[in-house]
Amino acid sequence: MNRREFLTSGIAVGVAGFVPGAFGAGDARIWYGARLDADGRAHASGFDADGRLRFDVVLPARAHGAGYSAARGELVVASRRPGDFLWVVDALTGRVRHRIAAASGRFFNGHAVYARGLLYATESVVTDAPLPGGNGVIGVYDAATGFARVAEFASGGHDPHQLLALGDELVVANGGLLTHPDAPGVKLNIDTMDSSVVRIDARDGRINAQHRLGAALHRVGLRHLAAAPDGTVAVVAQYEGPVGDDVPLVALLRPGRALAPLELPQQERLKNYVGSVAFDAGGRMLGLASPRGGVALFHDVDADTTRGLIEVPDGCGIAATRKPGEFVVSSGLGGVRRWLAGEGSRLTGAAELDHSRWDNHLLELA
Amino acid sequence: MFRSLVIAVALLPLSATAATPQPEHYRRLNIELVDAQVVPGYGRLADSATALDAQAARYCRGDASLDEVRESWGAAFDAWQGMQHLRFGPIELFMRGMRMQFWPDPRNSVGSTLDELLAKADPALLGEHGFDQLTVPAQGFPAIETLIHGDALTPGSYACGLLQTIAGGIADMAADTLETWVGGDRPWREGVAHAGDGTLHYQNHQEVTQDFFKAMHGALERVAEHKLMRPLGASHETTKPKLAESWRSGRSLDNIRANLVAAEAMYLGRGERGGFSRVVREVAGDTQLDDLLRRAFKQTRDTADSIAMPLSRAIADPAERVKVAKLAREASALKALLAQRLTAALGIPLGFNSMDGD
Repeated sequence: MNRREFLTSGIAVGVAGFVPGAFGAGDARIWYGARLDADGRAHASGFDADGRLRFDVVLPARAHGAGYSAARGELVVASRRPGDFLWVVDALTGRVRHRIAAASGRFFNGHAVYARGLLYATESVVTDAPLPGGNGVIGVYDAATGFARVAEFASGGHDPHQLLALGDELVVANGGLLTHPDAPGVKLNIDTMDSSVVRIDARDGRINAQHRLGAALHRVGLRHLAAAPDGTVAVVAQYEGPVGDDVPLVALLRPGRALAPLELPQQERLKNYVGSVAFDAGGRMLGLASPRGGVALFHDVDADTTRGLIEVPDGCGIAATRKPGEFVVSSGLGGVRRWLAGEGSRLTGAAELDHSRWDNHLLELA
Repeated sequence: MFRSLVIAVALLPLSATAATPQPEHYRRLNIELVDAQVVPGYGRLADSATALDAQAARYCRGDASLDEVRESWGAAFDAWQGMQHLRFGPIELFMRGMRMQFWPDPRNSVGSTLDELLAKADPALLGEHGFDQLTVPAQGFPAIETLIHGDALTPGSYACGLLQTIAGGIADMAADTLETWVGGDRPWREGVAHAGDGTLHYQNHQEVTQDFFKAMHGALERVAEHKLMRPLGASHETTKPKLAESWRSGRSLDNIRANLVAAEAMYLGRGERGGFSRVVREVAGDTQLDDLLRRAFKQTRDTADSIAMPLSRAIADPAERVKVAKLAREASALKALLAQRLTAALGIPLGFNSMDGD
């Protein structure tokens, strides 16, 4: 797995004199996004509310999601699955602090999260025959010892994708798809796929609960998650069946409860594919991005009403900001948009905002 | 030279176009592709699959040779390779596409599933509803390929019964796919012609064009990334011939040639003056791009034709291997041209998030 170059890149373009807070109190916000530049090179970048690029790291390959630790002032950028690197990056300067390679016989699945002084990353075990309990694992890395891999938990299924930390618990979406590095991107078990969301004790890896939508919906792949301040988790899906089928794409998981699918009045606009999800700062508004539908949809969970929909071609990255009801959405065809209280607007500034292909996720570093 | 094509991708990601295609242009293109390619293509598949089914029955009665079965399988599989890239529409229902051909198969699921079935020899699988009880890897063309190149198959054997079950299932799926496009109360063909009227899930004609574009783009992607780069390996001494498609029958390159012909036919359209090409030339007004894409398709096909031995041998042969690697690069560069230049000329908002997913 360690074939790829870990030494070549990591050119950090630093903060160039930017000081947090220089743009007025409350607007020192920075968003992470992975992107490809016009030459096809992969970067992890941070941009601010004024559209300025605040850090920029050249990567060896496309990145996907990221985890953020305010205490450590750093983010961890996860390579796209089947990935072979996690890079730990200084959130202020973009300096690469650590380069974590995939463990032997494992690849990274694109998401990682900090909790309890540790870093948890979703990974898959490479095997010839699928493992009976699932090929998914959570790799545990100790931030205090230079990110040594200190433990590995079973994820309870195949293809663990996004994960969240809520207190001492990890919430993990097992996408359920079986892939193999010899056929990257090809889903090998759509006929038998089994997707679930599990709650795992972050201390010892014990699986506390496992939630499914039901056997009839086994091709609904639960892949992405977002948490509201009250602990409600939104789970969004990508359906591995015909686009015209009517299946749930969003479900809410409240503490101690079962998965509750949400009906969306304009769901057909999502083309049975939600690529990314965020809860707003108030924990009331859900932002859903669908690159296949070319839209971002904003749904008020408390009122059970969709408040808005904006067209974002190939739009997939979505992040909530500190302002209740505000979101930032990025496009795979270039450009970043903001949405607040029913109004969409374009974020302008650095040329890179428009001249990049923004990858799957955005994250507010807050 | 192809090198210049690769540079063209890098330097000209967005081309200014004379005009953005309108709904009527998308509609005309979609209907042309349905009538000139989709319907005749599935027609050929249905006919050749029926012939394979009949040939399998003759062989199992002792009235045909194994070579004749292999020939019928080859004809039907050629027809399938000409349609493999179409991943939307009726072929997507009931997982028909995947059941027709389970591939890539890096874990050899087809081989191990068949081994189990042959060892068990369950008579229920040879009955009327036998096909529906088979798991996906055992239902399609690769399963038949494995049987007709294995040693279990003789007239009257259990393997022969299984062969007939699978051939019958393939013929049914092919006929159903064609019928869903053109027959019934609400044929897909009509749904495409009236996209946006609520018959199908499409909001508008542009979305149908996107599906056709993805099919053409996907054909190049599969050729480059799965059919060529995976078996190539790092050097001629570390090839992975069993990662090639159809390695058992040695048809890997025939498949690739059929895929390239199919993708080019979508681009050029009827009489080589329609398809995507006409939209690029007559609507977007980008004759340069059209010339470039025509050259790229032709050159890629020429390179595929220049390889003088089966893929499994070519990748291990120092001289032929160079051509295989060149073909992989050309298919990959053509894919990038389509993704970056053609989408811009067509005005369709497809990027890597909607095409790759994760």
